[in-house]
Amino acid sequence: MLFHPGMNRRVRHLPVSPGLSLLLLVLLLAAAVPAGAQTAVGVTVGLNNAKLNGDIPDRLSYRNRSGPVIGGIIEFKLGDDVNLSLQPMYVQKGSDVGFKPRGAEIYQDSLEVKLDYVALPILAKVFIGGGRAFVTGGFDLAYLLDGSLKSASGELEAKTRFATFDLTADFGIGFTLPVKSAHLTFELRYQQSLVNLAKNGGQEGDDAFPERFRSLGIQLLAGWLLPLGGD
Amino acid sequence: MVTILLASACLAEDAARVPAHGGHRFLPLVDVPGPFTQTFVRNSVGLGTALAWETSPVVIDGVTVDGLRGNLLAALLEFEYQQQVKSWLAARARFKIAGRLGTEVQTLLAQGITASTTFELGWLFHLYRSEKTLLAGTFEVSNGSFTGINLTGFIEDFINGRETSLVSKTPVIRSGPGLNFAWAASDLVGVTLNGRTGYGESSDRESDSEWFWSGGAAIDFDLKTRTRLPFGLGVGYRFDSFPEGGAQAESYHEALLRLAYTTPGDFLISLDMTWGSLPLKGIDQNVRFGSTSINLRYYF
Repeated sequence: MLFHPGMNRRVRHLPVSPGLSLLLLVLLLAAAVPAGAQTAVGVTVGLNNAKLNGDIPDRLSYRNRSGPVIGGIIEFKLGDDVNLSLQPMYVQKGSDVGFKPRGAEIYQDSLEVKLDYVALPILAKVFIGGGRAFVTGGFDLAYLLDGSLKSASGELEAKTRFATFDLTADFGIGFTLPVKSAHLTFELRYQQSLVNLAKNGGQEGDDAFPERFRSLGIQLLAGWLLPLGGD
Repeated sequence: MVTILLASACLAEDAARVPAHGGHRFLPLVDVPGPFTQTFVRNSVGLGTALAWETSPVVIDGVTVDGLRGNLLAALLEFEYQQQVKSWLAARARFKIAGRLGTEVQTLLAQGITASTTFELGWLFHLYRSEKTLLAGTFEVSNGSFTGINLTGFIEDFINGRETSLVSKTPVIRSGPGLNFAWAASDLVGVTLNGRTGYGESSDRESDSEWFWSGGAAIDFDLKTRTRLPFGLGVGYRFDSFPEGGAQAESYHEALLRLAYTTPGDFLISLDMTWGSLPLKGIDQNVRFGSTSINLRYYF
C-alpha cells in the first residue's frame, strides 16, 4: 500500500463552479480590451517540470517530473508596456513518487503520476528594460483530460481520483528577441496550484489517496509572436 | 573633514530610497505594510511570550481540580525581498518560520508545540496616486506547512483506542487580494492603512477551507523633521483572523509600537513591540501576549 488512508472528511474546492468562473473571467477580459487594440498571435512550446506537494506518507517523497507544453498565444495591448496574454495549451503535469525502504539511503522511484491537462493561462505581461524583458503574472485554469498511475506492475487509470479542474497562480520572467516582423520570447514561469487536487481524499481503503496535495513547478517556454496590427 | 562629512550626509539624504510621499518619509510596519514599490530586503527576528496562561479546571470523580498555570513562548524568523518592476509595480517574496510552545510541563501537555513555515509570493501595484495619498492593490499566494506535537490529543486517542499520531503535519495553501494605503498628513506625520482577505485551506484538518482576513492602521512620526534626531516612531493596531492558529485559536487583536533609526537614508533598523489578546478555543481564556522583534530593512 503506497498511500496511507486519510481521515474521513468532505473535501471542499472552490466555492464557485470552475466553468462559470472561466466564463465570467473571459467576459470580463473581453470587456477590458480596448476596441482596435494591437494584437499578436503565435505559438509556444516548452517543458513543464513539476511535482505534487502536500500530504505524503512516511518514507515516500514527491519528486519532479517533466512533461511537454504546447499551445498558442493571443496577446492584446492594454497600455504602455502592458499586454494581456491568453495562452491556450496542452500541458503534462504530475509527479514521481519515491519510496525509501527501511535501511536504504536513497529514494527509489516507485510510482509515476501522469496528469494531462488542457489549460488556459490568462496573464498580464509587463515589459521592462526598454521592452526587451518582461514579467508575467496571472492565473491558469486547467481541465484534466487524463490521469494515470504507472508502477512496475503496470499502468492504472486514475483520472477519477484527481480534481477535474486545477487553478494555479503564475509568476514569470522572460525576454524577447525581434526576428524580422515577429518576436521570439523565452520565459521561465513558476506555477503554484491554489486548489486541492485530491478528489476523493479521505476515503478509507487500501488504495486511498492523501487528503491534501497540489501541483507545484516551473515551466520553461519558448514562443514565436507575430503582431497583427491595430492601434 | 567636517565639510566632507556634511556633504556626504546631504548626498546620502538626496539619494535615500526609503519610502517617501507628499513630503513625508514613511516607516512602514511589517504588520501594516504600505503601498510602496521600492526594492528592499528585510530580515526580522523576534520573540514573544504569553505569561500566566491557565488551563481550565477539570472534574474527576466529582472532585474539581484547579487548572495549571504556565507560560507560552513564540519565536519568529522572517525574510522578505521586494523588487520594483515598474514605478507602479513590484514583486515580493517572503519566507517565515514561526514556533509556539509551552515552556513548562503543564503548558506543553495542554498546548503542545506548533511550528509553521510559510512561503509567500505576491504582487503590489499602484491603483491611485495623489499629491498626499497613495493606494495600492496586492495579490499574494502563500504555501505553508504546520507541524504540531499534540501530547494531549495523542493520549486521548490512545485511551479511546483510536489511531494515534503524536506529530501531525498539515499543508496549507491560501491566496487573496489586499489594499494598502498611505497618507502624508504632514512632513512629520504619516498614516498607513491595510486590509487583506483571501480563501484557502485551514490548518485544522477537521475544518473545511475558509475565508481569512486581516487589517491594520498605523501612524508614524519622522522625528528628524522637528528635532534633527535620526529616529522615527510608529504606533498601530492590527487584527487578524489567525488561520495559522488552527483549531486552538480564534482571531486576535494587537497594538504595535516601532522605534526606528532612520539614517543613513537607505537603511532602516527598528525595534518593534506588540501587545495583543488571543482567545483560545476549548478553554475560557484570552491569552495576553507580547513580542519584541528587531527588523533590518535595506532599500536599494
